[in-house]
Amino acid sequence: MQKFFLPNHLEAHFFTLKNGLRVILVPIENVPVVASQIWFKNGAAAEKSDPQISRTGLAHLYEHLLFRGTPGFGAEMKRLGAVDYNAETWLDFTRYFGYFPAAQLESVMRLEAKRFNQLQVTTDLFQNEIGAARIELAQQLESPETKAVLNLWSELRADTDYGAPTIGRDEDLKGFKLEEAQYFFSRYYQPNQATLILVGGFNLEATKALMGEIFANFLSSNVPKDFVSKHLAEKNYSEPRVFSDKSHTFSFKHEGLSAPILYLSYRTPPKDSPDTPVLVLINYILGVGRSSLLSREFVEKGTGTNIDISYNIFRKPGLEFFTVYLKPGADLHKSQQRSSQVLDRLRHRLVPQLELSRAKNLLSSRYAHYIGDPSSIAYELGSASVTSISPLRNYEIWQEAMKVTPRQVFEVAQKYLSSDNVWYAKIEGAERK
Amino acid sequence: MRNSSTTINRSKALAFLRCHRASVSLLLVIYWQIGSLLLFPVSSFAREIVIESAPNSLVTELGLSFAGGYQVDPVGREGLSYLAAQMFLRGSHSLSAKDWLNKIDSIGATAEVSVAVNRTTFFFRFENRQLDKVLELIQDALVLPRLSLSELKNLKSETTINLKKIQESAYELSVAGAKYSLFNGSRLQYDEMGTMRGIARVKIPDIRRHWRRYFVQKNLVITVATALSQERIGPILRQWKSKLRTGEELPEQISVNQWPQGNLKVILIDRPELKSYGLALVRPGSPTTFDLFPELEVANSILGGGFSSRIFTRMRGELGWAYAAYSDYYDIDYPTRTGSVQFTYIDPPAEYLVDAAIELIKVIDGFYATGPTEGEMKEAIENATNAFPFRVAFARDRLQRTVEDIFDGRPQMTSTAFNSRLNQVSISRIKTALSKEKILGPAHLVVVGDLKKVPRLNEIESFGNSVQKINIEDLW
Repeated sequence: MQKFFLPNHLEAHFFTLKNGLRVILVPIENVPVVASQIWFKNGAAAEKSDPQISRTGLAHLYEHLLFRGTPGFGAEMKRLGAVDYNAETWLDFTRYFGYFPAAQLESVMRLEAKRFNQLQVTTDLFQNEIGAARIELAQQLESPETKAVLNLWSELRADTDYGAPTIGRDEDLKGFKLEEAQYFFSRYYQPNQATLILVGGFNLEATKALMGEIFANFLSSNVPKDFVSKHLAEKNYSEPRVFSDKSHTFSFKHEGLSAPILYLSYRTPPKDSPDTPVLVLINYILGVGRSSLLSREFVEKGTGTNIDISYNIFRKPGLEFFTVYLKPGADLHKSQQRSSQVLDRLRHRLVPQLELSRAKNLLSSRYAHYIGDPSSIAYELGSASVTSISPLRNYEIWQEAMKVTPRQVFEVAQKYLSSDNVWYAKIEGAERK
Repeated sequence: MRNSSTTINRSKALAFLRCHRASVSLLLVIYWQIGSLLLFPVSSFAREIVIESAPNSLVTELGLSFAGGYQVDPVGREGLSYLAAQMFLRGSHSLSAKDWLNKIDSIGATAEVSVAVNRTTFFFRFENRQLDKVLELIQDALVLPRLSLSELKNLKSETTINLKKIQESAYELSVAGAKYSLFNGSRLQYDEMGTMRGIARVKIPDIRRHWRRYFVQKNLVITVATALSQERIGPILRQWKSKLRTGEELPEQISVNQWPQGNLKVILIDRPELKSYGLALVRPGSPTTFDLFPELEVANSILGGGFSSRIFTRMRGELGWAYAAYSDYYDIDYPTRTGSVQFTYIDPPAEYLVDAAIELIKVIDGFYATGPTEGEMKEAIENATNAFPFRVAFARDRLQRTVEDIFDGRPQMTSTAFNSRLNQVSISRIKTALSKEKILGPAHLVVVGDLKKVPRLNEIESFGNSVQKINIEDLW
C-alpha cells in the first residue's frame, strides 16, 4: 500500500487487488459518513473507438441499467441510508457515486459489488431504459448550450473518439439491440479499468482487508489487462477538420431563446501535458470571477450578463469552452471580435502580476474548499485516475499552477489561444413557429 | 454533454422531524379548514452568532441571514426583496460595484446572495487567512451600500433576462404553474425574482426603505463554519455586527394567502417551442409543526422517494413513461410553520402523457386509500434512521440545521430523540396522517409542453372541476 499526502495533510492510501482493481482510501477522523466513487475508463470515447459498436449512447445507457438491473438495489441502498446515489457518463469515463453512513460501509460495499456482478438486463428493462434515455435526450436538446457544445465537439473532434454525443443520437438509441449492449458490458466493465475510492470515517486497515475480500471477484477479467487503453491508443489523432467558414465560426438559431449566447472554444492538450497547469490558470484569468477578463469586457461594460467556463481537461486532446451570456439585442459579430481581442491581450503582452495573483487566489480558494469535502476529494482522485497516469494529477496541477509566471502564461497563450486554435459558436433566438 | 442518470435520489434522509406543539398545529388546521388568512410568527433570534468548528478546513464559510424574504414584497413590486438583496453586491459608498467585486475576487473570496420566502442570506467563502479583509469589505457594503440608480438599472435588466431563461424549462414552468394555482392572489404565486411588471416598478427609494427595514442587527443571524478558534473569531464578529444599523425587529406576524378550496384543478401551459413535457401534481401539505409530520415524511419517502418508490417503480421502472418520477415536500418554497406543498413530478413524452397522468393519479390515490405495506414502512424508517449522520456530519450541515431551527421552526434533534420519534411511526398513524392531509385542500394538475402534440388531451381536461389555460405573462 502506497501512502501520499493531500494538500491538507490527509493521507491517501493506494493499493491494487489481484484482479487489477485500484483502490484509494482516504480516512478522515470524526466524520460519520463516507463518500464512495467507482470510476471506469469506459465513457463514450470507448464506444466510438470500437468497430463492433455502430451506434452512439451505449455507455450512458449502461449507466442507467446498472441502477435498474440488480433486483432490490434501489430499495436496499435506501434502507441503508445512502444518499445522492447517482452516476454520470462522459467521454473518458463512467462513474458511480454516493454517500453513506460510515456504520453501513460493509453493507453498502457488498451491495455495490453485487450490482456489477449480478446484473440482469431483461428485454423489457432494456427497452424501458431506452425510453428514459430518449426523454433525457429530448430535455438536453432543449438547451441551446447543449446544442452548441455537441456541434463544437462533432466539428472539431470528429476524427477522434470524442466526436460523438455521450447521450447518443435518437435514431441510435431507438435501434439498439440487447446483444450489442451485452457486448459493451463484457468488454468495458473490467476490474483492471476501474478505480474504487472511499473518503470519510473508517478504519484504514480494516477497510483495506474488507475491500480485498468484497472485490476479489469484482466483475470478470476476461480481456487483456491493457485492452481498453491499447484499443483507444490505436486511434490516429490527426488535426481536426476546420469549418469551411474561415472565421472558425458556426451559427444557429434557437426557438424561444431570449438573449444571444456566444461560445468560445479552444483545443486543449491532454491532461498530462506540462502546459495544462498554465492553461488552468489562463482559464481563471479569462473566465472565473466577476473581475475576469471576459467578465470585465462583457458584464462590466453592460452587454453581457455572465460568463461560464467548462473546466474540461481530458485524457486526450480535447476542447475547452467559455460561454458568454449576452443581453437581448447584443451584436454577436461584434461580441465575437471583442472576445477575440480579449484573448489577444494574453498573447501579445505579459499578464500583469496583479491579474495573475487574482487568478491564483481564486484557484487556491476553490481548491481549499474542495479539499475539505469528501466527495470532492474522491472526485479529484477519481477523475485523475481515468484521465492521467497519476491519480494525484489534479492536485499536482493545482500546485504547479500556483507557481506559474507571466512569461509562461504568455508562451502558452500564444500556443493555444491563436486564431487557428479558437472556434466560436453563435446562438441567437428565433421566433416561435 | 455531461449526462446523469435518474438523477436525484429523493430518498435523502427524511427531513426534519418536528417536536409536538399541539396548540400551534390545531390553530393552523383551523385556519386551513375555514380558508381564512394564514399568519405565521417570526422567531426572535436568541442566538445571533453561531460558530461551528470545522477542523482541517482551509476555508471559512460565513452566512448572514436576515429575516424577511420575498414574502414581504409589496403588492405591485414583486421582486423588491430580490433586487434589494442583489444590490449588496453592487458596491458601497467608498467603492464602486466594479471595485468592490474586484477586491472580493482578488483575495479569492466568493460572495453569493439568495432570497427565500422568509429570509435573505448573504454567503461568503474564503481562505482562513483572508478573514479580516473579507469582514472589512462586507461591513463596507452592508453599512453603507451604494444603491446607485445605474446599478439598479443593470440589475433589473439582468433579472428580467434570468426570468425569461427559466421560462425555457418544462420543470420550472411546472413549478411556476403550481405556485400560480395554489397561491393565486398572493406574493407566493410568483418566483422569488418577482414579476416583469413588479421589477420594472421598483425604484431606488423602495430599495432604500427595504434596506433600512430588514437588513438590520435585530433581524440578523450570523453563522460561521471555520477552523479558526471561537475565541479569535467570536469577538471580531460581535464587534463587526455592532457597527450595523440597529433598526427594529420584524413584527410578530406576517400575513400570507389562504389555501384554495375545491376539487382537482387542471392547469395547462402551452409552450410550442418545448420538446419535453412536465406533469406536476401538487397538493397543500401540513406544516412541519403538524404532530404527524414525521408520518407524512415516511409516507412520502415510500410514495415518491428514490429508485424504489411507488411512483418511480411504476412510472419509469415498469412503464418506461418518464425519466424523472418523484414526490417531495421541498420543491416549492413555503413558510413551513404554516404548511408545505407536496409536489409530484414526472416528465413523460407527448404520446404517453395522458396515460401517465391517469396512472400517476391512480398510484397516488391507491396509496392514500390503503397506506403502505409493513415492508415499505420498515424500509423508509430504516432509511431515515441510517441517514441521520448526514444531518450532523459537517459544520455546514449543523449550521444549516440551526438556521432552519431559527427561521423555519424545525428544531434540531439528537440521534436518540430522532430514533425514538421514528419508533412511534406505525401504519395506522401513517393512515391517520394521510387522511388529515387530504382534508387540507384539493390537488392541482399542471401540464406543460407543446400541447397540440398531446393525443387525447381532452381526457385530462375532464379530470378537474375547472381547467385553466395559463399564459406565460400571468406567471411572471
